[in-house]
Amino acid sequence: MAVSQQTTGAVLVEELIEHRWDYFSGVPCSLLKGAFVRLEALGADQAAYYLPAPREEVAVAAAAGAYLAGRNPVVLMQNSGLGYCLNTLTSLLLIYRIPVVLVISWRGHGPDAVEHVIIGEAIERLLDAIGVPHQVLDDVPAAVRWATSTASSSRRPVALLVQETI
Amino acid sequence: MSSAAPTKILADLVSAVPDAMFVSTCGYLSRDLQQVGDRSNFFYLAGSMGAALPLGLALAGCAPETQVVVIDGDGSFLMGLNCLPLVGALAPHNLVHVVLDNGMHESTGGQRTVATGRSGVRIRKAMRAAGYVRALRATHVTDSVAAALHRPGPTGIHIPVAPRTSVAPRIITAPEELVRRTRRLLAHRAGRLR
Repeated sequence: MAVSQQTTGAVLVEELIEHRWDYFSGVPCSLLKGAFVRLEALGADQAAYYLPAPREEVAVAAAAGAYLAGRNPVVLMQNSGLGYCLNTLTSLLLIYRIPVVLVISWRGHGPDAVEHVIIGEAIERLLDAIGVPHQVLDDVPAAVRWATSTASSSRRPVALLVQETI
Repeated sequence: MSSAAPTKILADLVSAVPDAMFVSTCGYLSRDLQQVGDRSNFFYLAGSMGAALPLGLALAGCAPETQVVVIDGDGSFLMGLNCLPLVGALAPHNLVHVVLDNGMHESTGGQRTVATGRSGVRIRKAMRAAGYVRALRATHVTDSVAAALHRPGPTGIHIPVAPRTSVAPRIITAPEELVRRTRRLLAHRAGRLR
């Protein structure tokens, strides 16, 4: 890692680990490629763990299970996956008051493939409607500080929205 | 042998592995488990049908000193099918996946599922194909089921059950409190065993 330029995704993962987020799960998105490369390179000797999930609701449920065992979970997904796991967010994480950092790519933020248009336009309103605080990822350390303090103090999931490839 | 009531099966499972962490799917099965006698090692899902297995899988991975018993119905098993290969791939030795199969969505009025019958999903075959170490079928918590509960898994157990004759009361413990007590219990165990 020392020689090559680190991706923003790798920096994000390391910043999250620095803030004691130590259990990662999710379903890949091309915008989040750098983060997933870093997660797949986590060694068995490291404090953090990565569970590749087949669907977003599996990742969210796994995050809940990890929290019960004392871990601090992060879930990464494309915004299309928010539709799949909406119920698991509302009837599990929000009702049971489980703090999780959601890293959600924002496909359809600008011109994009047709399948991303509707969810891309609705993503912020969707998160507002179910009561998940969210912020667009810009400055990584500041975003992780915000996510950590907001999730911990409110004991609810919070979302970082990723607009560009990281 | 005829099928038993879910509460009878659950009571026998709890007797066989009283210290295990039980994670139950939403609907009547969580109510049945509470009816057995609420304990701090029971975690009931209020909703999120299909989420008991991935939740239990992560729990088993993060708390290797604790046996985790996931209680699914045939409906929630089908909803969570996509998680089976993950169970096989991670192969947590401390995970047991029980499917109590009444062939219907009884909590919602008895609509039939496709888990049983000649053209239905073969639950044991699906578990084995996904990589479970073993998958049993039994109508009661027999000696061989009890023995399997004490062997390294992941273990799958398919138990046909009879439709209920009565409905147990709703879960009385608040979801937040379920989280609090489970975290306390597992932290205590991890501390004791460290």
